[in-house]
Amino acid sequence: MEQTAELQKSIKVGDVGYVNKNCWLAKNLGYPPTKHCQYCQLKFTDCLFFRYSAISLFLVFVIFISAILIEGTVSKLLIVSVFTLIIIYGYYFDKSTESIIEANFAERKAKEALEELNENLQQKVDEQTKDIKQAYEVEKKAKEQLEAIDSVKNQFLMTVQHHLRTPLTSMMGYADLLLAGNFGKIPKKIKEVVKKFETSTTSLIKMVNEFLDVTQFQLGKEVVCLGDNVNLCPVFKDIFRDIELEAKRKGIYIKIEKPEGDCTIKADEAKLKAALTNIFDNAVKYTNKGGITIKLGVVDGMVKVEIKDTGIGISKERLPKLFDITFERTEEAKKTFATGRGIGLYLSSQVIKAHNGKIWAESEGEGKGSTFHIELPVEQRTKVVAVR
Amino acid sequence: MASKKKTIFLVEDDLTIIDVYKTAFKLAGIDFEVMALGRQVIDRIKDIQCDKAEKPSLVLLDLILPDMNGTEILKEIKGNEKTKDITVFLLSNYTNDESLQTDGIKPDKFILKAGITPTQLIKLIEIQLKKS
Repeated sequence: MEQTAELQKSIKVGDVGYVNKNCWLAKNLGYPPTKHCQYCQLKFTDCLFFRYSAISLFLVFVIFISAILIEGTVSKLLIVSVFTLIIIYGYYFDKSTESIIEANFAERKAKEALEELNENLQQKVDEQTKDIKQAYEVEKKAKEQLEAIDSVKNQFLMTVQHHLRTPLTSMMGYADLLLAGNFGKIPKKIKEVVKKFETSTTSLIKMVNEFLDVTQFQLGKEVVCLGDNVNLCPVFKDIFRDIELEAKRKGIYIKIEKPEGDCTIKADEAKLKAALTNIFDNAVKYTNKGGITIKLGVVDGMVKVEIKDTGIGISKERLPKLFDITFERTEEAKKTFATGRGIGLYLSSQVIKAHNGKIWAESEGEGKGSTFHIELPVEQRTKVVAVR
Repeated sequence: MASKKKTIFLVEDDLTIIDVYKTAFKLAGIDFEVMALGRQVIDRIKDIQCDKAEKPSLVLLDLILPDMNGTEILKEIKGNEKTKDITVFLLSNYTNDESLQTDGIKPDKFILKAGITPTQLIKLIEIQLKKS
């Protein structure tokens, strides 16, 4: 109502008008509501349609009375014609006004809808821009925090490497010099003590190296340095010599099937040897009865190693995460070999993966032995000739 | 004709490690010179490049020195025509890649100090000195 009153002041004939769907005339005469102005509901005399309709009716009445009262046919015809023209003009004026109102109304409605859409759209764009800016700031801050943490981790790693390894280097160095006689001949008993000292130091260095390697792998650092044309045969020869001695001592059998000839791959020889040694050592360590069967071969450009043992086996629950766990050991493993650290398999798998290789294990369950498979890409093909 | 005296440079700042290696070198009869600062080595290398000093047969280069990173010294040695044939063994207790950035210039050997005994190091040095 208030809006209507305001519009009432500004609107005039021929101007853009609004349509009131509750128009009395539209309801009662069945006239389409789009053809009425907004004032209809308020006063009949303000309705454009009503005005022209009322005026038209009045003019018809005047023509009728004039036709009766005025004398002379020509005069009567003239008056009738004039009034008819006025009525026709009024009718078409009304019609054209209504058309203009209708067209103006449609245009105004469309314009208002567009303005509303633009306003909504602009509001949405502003809101989304604000959200994007906020998200960008959050991401930027998170990235800076991660970079800061990364830097701290790197610094920690460098500090630990230096401060742990440097005194150990000196300890191992002096023990080696003593045993080599650099400080003169030492008594036998002292020599034995120094040997034990050297063994413990070497063991400690190995442990520190492994812990640092685990940390580096977990931080995503490069731990291996691949060199070309590393011959695997002498590597396996050394490993087999050691495990055959240990197997003999334990009274378990070892069967080895390996190819003749050289087999070269891209590798960090020292790290790969340590990784493979760990797997073979585990097979011997955790087998007390029966023995181990080892198969080596080259198939489709890959060195394939299979180590099957009759040892303590691996539970089905542990198998999927066997190479991901660090510092955890099963009770059975602890009983069989008390001093393990629980990082060997993790390190071996990381080193083998860094060599673009694969490692996986199979087992029927605890107490049922296990089979470890290793694959490494070769630089040269080799045929399997015979079983030894 | 007397054979040329073979000298090695030991570039190391840790006093205990210097003592260990000095003891081993003396007993093995290896002639050596110790430099604890990177600047000293750079100056010597520049003298060699200007023919003012003799080339060493081998450089044992520590990675982390008080005044600079050993890789800068490596670049100085390997980046010059007159000194690029000097054999450099990089010695370090660091194994992460950030500390080993050498922009493509590689040492002749990388040795983990904690992974080698003085006896083993002497053997490596003797093999290298026989080659040079």
